[in-house]
Amino acid sequence: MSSWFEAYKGEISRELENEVLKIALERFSATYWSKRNAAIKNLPYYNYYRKRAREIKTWSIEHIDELIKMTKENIESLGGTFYLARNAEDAVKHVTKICEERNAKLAVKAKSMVTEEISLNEALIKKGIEVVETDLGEWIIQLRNEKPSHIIYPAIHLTTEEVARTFSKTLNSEVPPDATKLVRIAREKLREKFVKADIGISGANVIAADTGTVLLIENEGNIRFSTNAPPTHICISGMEKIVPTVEDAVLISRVITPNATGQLMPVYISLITGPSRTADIELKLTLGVHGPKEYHMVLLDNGRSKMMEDPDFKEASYCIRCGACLSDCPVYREIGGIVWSHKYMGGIGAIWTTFTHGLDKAAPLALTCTTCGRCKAICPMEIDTPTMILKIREKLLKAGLTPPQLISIAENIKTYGNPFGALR
Amino acid sequence: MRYGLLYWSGCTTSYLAPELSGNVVKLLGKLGVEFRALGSREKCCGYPLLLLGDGGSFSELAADVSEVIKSEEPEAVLTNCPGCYRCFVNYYPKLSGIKVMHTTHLIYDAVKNGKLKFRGGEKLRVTYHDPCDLGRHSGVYDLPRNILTSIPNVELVEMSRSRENSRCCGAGGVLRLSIPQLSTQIAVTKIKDDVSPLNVDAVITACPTCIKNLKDGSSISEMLYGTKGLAIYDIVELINMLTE
Ligand code: SF4
Repeated sequence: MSSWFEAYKGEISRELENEVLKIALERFSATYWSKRNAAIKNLPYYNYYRKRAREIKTWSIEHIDELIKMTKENIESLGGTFYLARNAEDAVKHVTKICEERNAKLAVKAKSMVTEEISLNEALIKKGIEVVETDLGEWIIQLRNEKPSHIIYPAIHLTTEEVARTFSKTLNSEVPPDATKLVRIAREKLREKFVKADIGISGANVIAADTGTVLLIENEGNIRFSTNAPPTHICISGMEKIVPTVEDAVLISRVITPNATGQLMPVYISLITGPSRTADIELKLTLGVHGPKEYHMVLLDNGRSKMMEDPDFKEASYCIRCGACLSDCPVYREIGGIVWSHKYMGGIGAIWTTFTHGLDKAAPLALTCTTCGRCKAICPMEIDTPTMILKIREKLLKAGLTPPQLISIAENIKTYGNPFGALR
Repeated sequence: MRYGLLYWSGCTTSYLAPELSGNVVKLLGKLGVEFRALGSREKCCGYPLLLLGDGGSFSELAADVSEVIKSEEPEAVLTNCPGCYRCFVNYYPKLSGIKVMHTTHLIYDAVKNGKLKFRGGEKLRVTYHDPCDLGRHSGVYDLPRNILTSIPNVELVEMSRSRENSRCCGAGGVLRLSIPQLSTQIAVTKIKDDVSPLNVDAVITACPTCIKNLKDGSSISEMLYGTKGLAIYDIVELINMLTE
C-alpha cells in the first residue's frame, strides 16, 4: 500500500543521493563539531551560564503573561507600537498593514525563522512589496527560491561551488567558487538595498521585558543595517523569547553563541530599545535621528500558549534556537533540513511544528528520529526532545497518522510476540 | 557467583543474531553461573511499541511479560540487549524487586572478581561504540570501557564523538525497520568519519542491533570509501574469544 510515508521516503532517498548535499554536510559536520567544542573549552563558566539560562527560561515561561504586559508597556512608552498576534494570519495582516500604510516599496530583512513560520515574504511580495533577505545565507536561498535548511545556517545544504553557480546565474556572468568573491558580491548588491529600504524587518534572539529591549546576535552586520537604515523597523518574534531583564538576555546570548557558531562572542550584539531618538535640542524629545523613527514589535503566539500550557511539551518553549541539536544530529548529518522540515527542522522542529503548523506536518519529522538522545545531550537547555518525539508519535497513532508500515510492526509484536513477524 | 539468573535474549538477538545468545550462554558456562531461559515463552519486551507511540498496547504486553518473568521467581534478569534493558529498568514497575542486568554488568563483576582468565596473544586495537539505550539513556559508559582496558592485549582508543556525544548507529527509534536506507547511511558515516581515522582492528559494542547496523555500515564504507575492513564484536563475543 502506498502512503504519504512512502513518498516521503522517496524524498529522503533522493537527498541521500544528492551529491552537493553530501559534500556540504560532510564539510559542515566536521567543522561545526570541532569549532563548537573548542569554544566550550574556552568558556570556563559555560555550565554556569547554561544552567542559569534554563532557570531564567523556566521562570519566564511561568510568568509569560506578566512579561508580555511589561514588554508592551515599555515599548509603547518608548514611542513604539506593540502587537500580540494570535496566529500566522493575524501577524501577516498586521505587518502588511504597517507596510501598506507607509506605502512601502522595499523591505530589507534580517534572518528570522518566525517570518518563515508565517510565510511573511510571500504575503508582502503579493502586495507588490520587494522583499530582500540580507543575511548571506538567507539571500542565497532567496535567490534559489528555497527554504532554509538550518535555523542558524539557512544555506548549509549548499557548497561554495553551488553558491557560485547560483550567483553566476543571477548575475549572468561567471563567478568563481571563492567565498571571498561571493561575499564581496553580496556586499555590493545589498548595500543599495539597505539605503533604499522603507522597512527593516528583524527577528529577536531574546527580548528583555523590564526595558522592552530586543537583543540581536549576528556576525555579518546586516542586522545593524536592516534595523538602522530604514525609517521603520518591525521586529517580529515568538512570544516565548521574553526574559525578565537585559542581563538575562545577555546571559542567554552567551549560551546561544558558542552552540550556534562556535564563537565565544558574536561580532555584533545589538540591543535595541525603541525608535531612534534625540533630546539634544532643548531636551525636546524627537524620534528618528539616524535610526528608524518608527518601531513596531509584533509578538507571535501561533500555538505557543498551547505549548507552554502543555506539561508534556512546555519544555520545548525553553529552546533558545542555538541549533546545536541539529548541527550534531546523526539524521541531520545525512539528509539536512530541506526534506526534514516543514518550516522548522529536525527533532526539536517536530515539536515546534506540531504546535505551529499541526500534527500532520510534524508527522514525517517525528518519524525520522532515531530517538538516540544526541540532541538532549548537546542541548545547553537539556531539552528532552526524544521523549517529546515519542509523545508526538503517540498523538500520531491516536490521530490515525501513523503509516501502515509502522502499524504492522506493532501488529507483529501483538500477534507473533516479535517486531519482525517471525514464527518462533 | 550465583544470581538466580533468568537470561532474556530479546527479539533482535533471538531472531537476527542467535549466535549472540549462544555466546552469552557460553560465557555463563565459563563463569559457572546457573541460569534459566524462557524459551518460547519469551515475548517481545514491548520497547518497539513505545517507540511507535503505542503506549496502550505496551502496558498490556508489559503486564503479561512481567507475570511470566515473575513466575520464574528469579533474583535477576540478565539481557544482552540494551533496548530490553532500558525498557525493563524504566517501564516495568512490576519487576521491582528483581534486579535487571545488562551483560556488561555481568562481565564487569567477573573481571573485578578475577573470574576471567585472559589468554593474552596478539595485540588488538579497538574502539567502543556506545549503544544509545545503554549509554545516553541508561548512563552505562564506564563499565564496558573498564572491561576493555582490563584486557591485557587490548588497546582501547576513543572516537572523537564518544560517550554522551556518541553518534547513534542509525538503528534507533525503529529507523532500521522504518527507513532502512537512512538508518544504514548513518552507520556508514559512523564508520567512515568516526571509526576509520582511528585505524582500529575492531569496533566493540554491546547491542545486537548496533552490531547489525555497524556491520552493514562497515561493509558499505569499505566498498564505497575503501575504509579498512573491520571486525564488529559484541563485548560478550570478544570476551569469549580472549578468555580460556
Ligand atoms: S533544542 Fe536545545 S540545542 Fe536545539 S536549538 Fe533549542 S536550545 Fe539549542
